[in-house]
Amino acid sequence: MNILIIEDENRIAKRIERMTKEFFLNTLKNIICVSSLQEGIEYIQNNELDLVLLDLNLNGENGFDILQKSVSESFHTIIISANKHEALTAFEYGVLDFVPKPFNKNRLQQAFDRIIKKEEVTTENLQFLAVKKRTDIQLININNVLYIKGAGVYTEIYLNNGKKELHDKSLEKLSQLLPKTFQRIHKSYLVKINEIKEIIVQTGSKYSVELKNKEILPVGRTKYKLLKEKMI
Amino acid sequence: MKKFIYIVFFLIFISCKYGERPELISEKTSEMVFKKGDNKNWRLKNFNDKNWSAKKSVPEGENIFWARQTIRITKKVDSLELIGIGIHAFGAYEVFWDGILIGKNGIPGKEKSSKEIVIPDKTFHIPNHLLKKGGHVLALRMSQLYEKKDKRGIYSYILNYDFLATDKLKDTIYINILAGAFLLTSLYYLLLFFSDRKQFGTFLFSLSSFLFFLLIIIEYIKFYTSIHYANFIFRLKIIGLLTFLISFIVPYYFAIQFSLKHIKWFTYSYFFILASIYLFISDSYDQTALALSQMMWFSSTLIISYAIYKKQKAAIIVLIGLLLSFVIYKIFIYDISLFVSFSIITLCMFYLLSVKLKEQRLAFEHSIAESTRLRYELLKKNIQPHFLMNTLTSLIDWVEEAPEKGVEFIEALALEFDLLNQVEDQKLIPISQEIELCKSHLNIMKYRKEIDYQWETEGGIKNEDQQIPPAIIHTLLENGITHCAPIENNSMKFKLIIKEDLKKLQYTFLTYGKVRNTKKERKGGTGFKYIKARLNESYGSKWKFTSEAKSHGWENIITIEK
Repeated sequence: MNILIIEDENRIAKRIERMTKEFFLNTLKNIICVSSLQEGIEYIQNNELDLVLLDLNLNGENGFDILQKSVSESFHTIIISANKHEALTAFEYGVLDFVPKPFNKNRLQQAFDRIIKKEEVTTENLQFLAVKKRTDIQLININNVLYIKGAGVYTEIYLNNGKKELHDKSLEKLSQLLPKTFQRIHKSYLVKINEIKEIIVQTGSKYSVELKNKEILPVGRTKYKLLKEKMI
Repeated sequence: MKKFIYIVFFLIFISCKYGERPELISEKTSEMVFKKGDNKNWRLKNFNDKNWSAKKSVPEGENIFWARQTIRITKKVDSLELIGIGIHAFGAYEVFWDGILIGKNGIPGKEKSSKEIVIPDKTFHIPNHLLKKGGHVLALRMSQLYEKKDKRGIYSYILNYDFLATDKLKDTIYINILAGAFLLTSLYYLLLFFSDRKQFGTFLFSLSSFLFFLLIIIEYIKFYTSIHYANFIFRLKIIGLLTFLISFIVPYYFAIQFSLKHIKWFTYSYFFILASIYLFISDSYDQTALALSQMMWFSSTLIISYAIYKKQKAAIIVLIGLLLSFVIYKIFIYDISLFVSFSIITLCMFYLLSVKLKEQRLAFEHSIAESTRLRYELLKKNIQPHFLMNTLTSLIDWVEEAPEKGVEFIEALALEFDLLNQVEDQKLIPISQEIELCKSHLNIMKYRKEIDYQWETEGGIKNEDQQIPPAIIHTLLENGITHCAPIENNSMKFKLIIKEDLKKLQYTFLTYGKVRNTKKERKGGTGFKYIKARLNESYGSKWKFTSEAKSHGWENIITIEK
């Protein structure tokens, strides 16, 4: 694990670092603390990361710029902040968890659990997927998303206007963030349930779904049962 | 509601009608002629006065002189109608109608010894049998001990006796109601002024109402009180003086209420102009009063036009009022126009005062709300989540990792809360207390940021008079901590320089550190708003605040004029 902590309060940064080390033990390859937005952005741009722990209020500056950048990347972002009222917005942007200050060891480790267990997050608050463009970051409203297809370490997001966007996060990571209206139907496909028109059963236990826009997507054998339950 | 009031005033105004005068029954068929000396025959109707002088010349002391005039009765008089003759003349006189004595206002030649109050205006009844159609002679046997220089002639008018006796009294009834209103207004606003001495406009309004009350009373007092003709001129002089004062105060009031620029310059030059008019145009008292009040009208209009140009509230309505008063001035005779137009001007002043008082009340309410808001903001400093939650998180960590240090941290926190509680309801606190507050804040931040913060004060704290609104330097300190990073050896220094001379008190607050992100403007932050609002609250506009990045870090300068 490569972890970046962005926190301007030295004492708190040290606390986070200590607790993170205690949790990840020898799986932790590298952990670094920076105390300003500038340093944070530079570090994200130039290094491979698996997790960013971010304080939203750094030196009096609003951390939402760096938040957008962070969530558009391949790694997960966890917010550790004193301003609880910012939690909802943070979740809308697609953070894995929001840990309010003051926090204890248990609360922080609960957040870390979400990473290793890879379990689906119970939150239903995600509103936007942040997609990196050439010069800036574009926010895609998840209402406009039909389905998401895994493409190696990236994902392809298919939109209802026929367009396709690339996201740096893996299908696994996105499925952790997306609300329950999105269902995994195949190892490479994540579909919004209410976009499915019908399930097609073919000979030889082959399954597929037809979407409302007439596109046909494959359904994995193991996923079929779950999907059928949900559809009913 | 406002419109309704305007309409009512307008209706009242147009319903005013000048009372009807009774029919004229006579005409003068010669000029008044005069002769010094005394002769019983001079009273007679048929006496030939052809060689008498048309020019009135008053003999020495109480010596007697005579005046004669021929009058023609043009209409047949009803046998039951009372007819009178009103006479205006300086001096003691006996009135002869066709040689018959019909009345007197004193004893000619014995003015001094008789001590009677000899009034200049008096009405006498003419018996009906002496009022046959055709020519008649009015003869006056008189002496004039006082006011010999006054060249006024002798005026007479023959009309219905009741009309002559009561006409002016009827006017007086209404005018006295007006006077009462002005007196009450004046007293009310005087009391208001006493309860709040800062309201100079209120005082001026009260004063001009009072002067106007006096003017009305003195103008009309002659109709119901006997005034010796020797005091007649004195009364006119008082009227002149009152008109002068009113003519000065009214535009001055407008200038103050509309916050005219160069008000001193205006006041002196206007006073000079008025004084010249008062001193040099003195042919007739009425002329002087007319010139003064026209000057008042002219300068008021100028000031109000300027106020309209500057888009000041209520200026247009006041201008309409002034124009209306001018129209009335031109339409009616002097006595009436003076009072009606002055009343309208006073109403304008009244209106303006109410507008200004409302503005002041709103400003006052706003200032109270602002003070409450600032107090709330000060209290919020230590419970806003960023400060509180970060502090608590650090605190938990200290308690878990180094309990003894944790206790010290709690004590530092307790001190800061205590200091803030002490100043939270103050508008100004001694600078020593503010420094204490800053130091305690630094103490907390040391535990949180683990940076070596240093504090230095330069310049003597002389006395308790060196004050500052609470938490201003504290806010600058917070900004310094937030926006500057420590220099190499993980330390940061803050320095407060206090300078005081006779004219100003200056606080310079310096942060020594690396400025983060100098690109961004930091002018509108909530911290600066708080500082500016606090300075406004305590010093009005007599302060200056600058804040800028320097090579050593950050420099803030607060200058307070004395």
